[in-house]
Amino acid sequence: MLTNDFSVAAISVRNVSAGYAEEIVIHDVSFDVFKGEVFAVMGRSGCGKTTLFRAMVGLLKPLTGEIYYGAEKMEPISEQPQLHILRKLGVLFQSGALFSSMTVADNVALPLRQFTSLPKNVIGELVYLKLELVGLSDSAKKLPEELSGGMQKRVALARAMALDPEILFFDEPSAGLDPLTSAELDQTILGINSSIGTTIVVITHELRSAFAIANRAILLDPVEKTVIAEGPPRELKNSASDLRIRAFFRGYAD
Amino acid sequence: MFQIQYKQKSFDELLIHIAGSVSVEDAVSVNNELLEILESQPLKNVQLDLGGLSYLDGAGMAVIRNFARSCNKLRNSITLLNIPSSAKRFLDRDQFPIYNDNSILEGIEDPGFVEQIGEGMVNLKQNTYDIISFLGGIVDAFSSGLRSPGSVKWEGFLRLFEKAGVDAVPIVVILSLLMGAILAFQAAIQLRKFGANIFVADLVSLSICLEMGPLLTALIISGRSGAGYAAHVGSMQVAEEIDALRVLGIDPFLYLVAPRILAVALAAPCLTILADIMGVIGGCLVAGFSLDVTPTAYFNQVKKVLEISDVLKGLIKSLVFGVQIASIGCLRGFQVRGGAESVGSATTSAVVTCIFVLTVTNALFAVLFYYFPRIWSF
Ligand SMILES: Nc1ncnc2c1ncn2[C@@H]1O[C@H](COP(=O)(O)OP(=O)(O)O)[C@@H](O)[C@H]1O
Ligand SMILES: [Mg+2]
Repeated sequence: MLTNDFSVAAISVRNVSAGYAEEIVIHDVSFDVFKGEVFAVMGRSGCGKTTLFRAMVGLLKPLTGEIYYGAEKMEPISEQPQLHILRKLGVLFQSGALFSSMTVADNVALPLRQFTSLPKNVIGELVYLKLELVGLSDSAKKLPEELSGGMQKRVALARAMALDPEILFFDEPSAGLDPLTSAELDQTILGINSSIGTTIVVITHELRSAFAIANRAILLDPVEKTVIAEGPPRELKNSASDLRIRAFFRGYAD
Repeated sequence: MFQIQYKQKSFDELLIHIAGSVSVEDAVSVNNELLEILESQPLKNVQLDLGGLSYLDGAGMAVIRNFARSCNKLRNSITLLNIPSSAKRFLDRDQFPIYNDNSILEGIEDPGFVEQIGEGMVNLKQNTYDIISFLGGIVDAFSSGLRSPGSVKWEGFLRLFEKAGVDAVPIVVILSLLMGAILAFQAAIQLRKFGANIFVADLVSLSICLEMGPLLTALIISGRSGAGYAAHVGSMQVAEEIDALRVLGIDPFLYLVAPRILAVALAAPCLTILADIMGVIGGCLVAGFSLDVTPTAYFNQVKKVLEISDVLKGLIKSLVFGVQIASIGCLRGFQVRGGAESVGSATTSAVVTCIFVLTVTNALFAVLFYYFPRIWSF
């Protein structure tokens, strides 16, 4: 049972630094994502949004710092996969990451078969329902390669939501989508958030989308390598005195 | 977390109440209970009241739809009452009068026998077309490479040669040494009976230089470079990298295929010489240990029996093998359509095709060398 309580932290990121062999990409990042909110991670391309996201879901071991889901510490999946936490997460990767050898329906059914013992009929029904939600019930039997990029993204979204996870991660959901589809996707995201109170973390560089859906946002800076602003997107835009924040929200460098 | 109650409302009406929360965790038991009620109550008109639900997720909705479809199957009418607003979109029967027929998970059905034959024919035609146009592409690339050598990408060539040739040295050395030793060992058992010990040198040196050396090397290269090229080019195909080259105005044959063919064509004879030497040495070791043939006697005999032309024949073969292996690897890579699975089959198919083509070519060479034993005289 999910509750909307904007004061209980669903995810706490504490002093996390992360990076790759040669370089630290994000340094000493701390923030909370509250239960039931839509939280945006913003920043220019290459500032480390995906890196932070990979650290949050346990794909990348942070160099320092910890990530908590509720009271539980998230360990890197490679060291100690915590299935009960992973079960609560739904993840939409930047590239979709559909399994190319399975049909669309089987892609969506995979987490259901893995984590539930629902009978085949109900799984079929649920797959159909999730595909309806993203408007692709007609393509259920196609292979991913037979879909356009935007459609693949929507199938990936259906797969991420198959188990109605408590927390959904979206890495640049509207990248590569036309404005109309991307606006529809925003509405879908809001719909998921409001209907069953899913906590949603959206990684995006699109201002319009962030303004439309996010309750709060953080802004990462590629030079400082850390969070330079935190708050509701509109407030950040209107009240920021920092030049870098203003430049990001105005959409041009000054 | 959920409660289900039911009562008979009128003589043919059944009213079922669901209350509480229905989520993925309870979905299985809700499903079972609902279906049990349906089976135990032979009433025509079913009403399902969802008014008491505080929480209903996707799995819950799927259970309800499944229930509705089961009702339809049993020819009962079903009415959903008090649908929660968030679920209206998915449960409102006015918008979705017929629930899904649930065949979506059956996937793509396996083709029938006749269909498979037809598919095989179409594949054969496509494959032939691919091979011919690929050969055309290679010839085109080499001729334009000869006309303007500047357009070939030479920087990567050394690395390709290193990967295909130098990196294969350890495995070639070990395998051919063992191969020579095994040949000598098998021969020793027979030759000893006739006191013809010294002829082990003839047997090992001729069979290694003419057949085993080139073939063994070619097989190793197929497994290493042939498969590697198929996977590399195939992944590039999947990621649209080949298309990216094309629109940049770069000929993928000139950029990818030509350097690889040259690298392997050069590496294969080099590795074959190495394999020849190591094979003969392997034979020498066994001859020394189990046939009492001294190394001096062994190599004298090798010198007497092994002609330059024998070694050259092997090297010419291996040059051809090299060209074939690199071409087949790249061809299979270019044929990739779709995703990761297709890359896997391209890799498999590259190795299988290589083995087949190498064997056939080897047979052709055997015939050719039989009719023209002295290859350098023309
Ligand atoms: N696998 C990797 N290995 C090394 N560096 C990487 C890797 N992935 C990303 N980076 C570097 O990390 C930085 C941040 O990348 P990323 O998190 O993908 O940015 P964003 O998602 O914000 O566009 C970039 O400078 C990039 O070069
Ligand atoms: Mg990214």
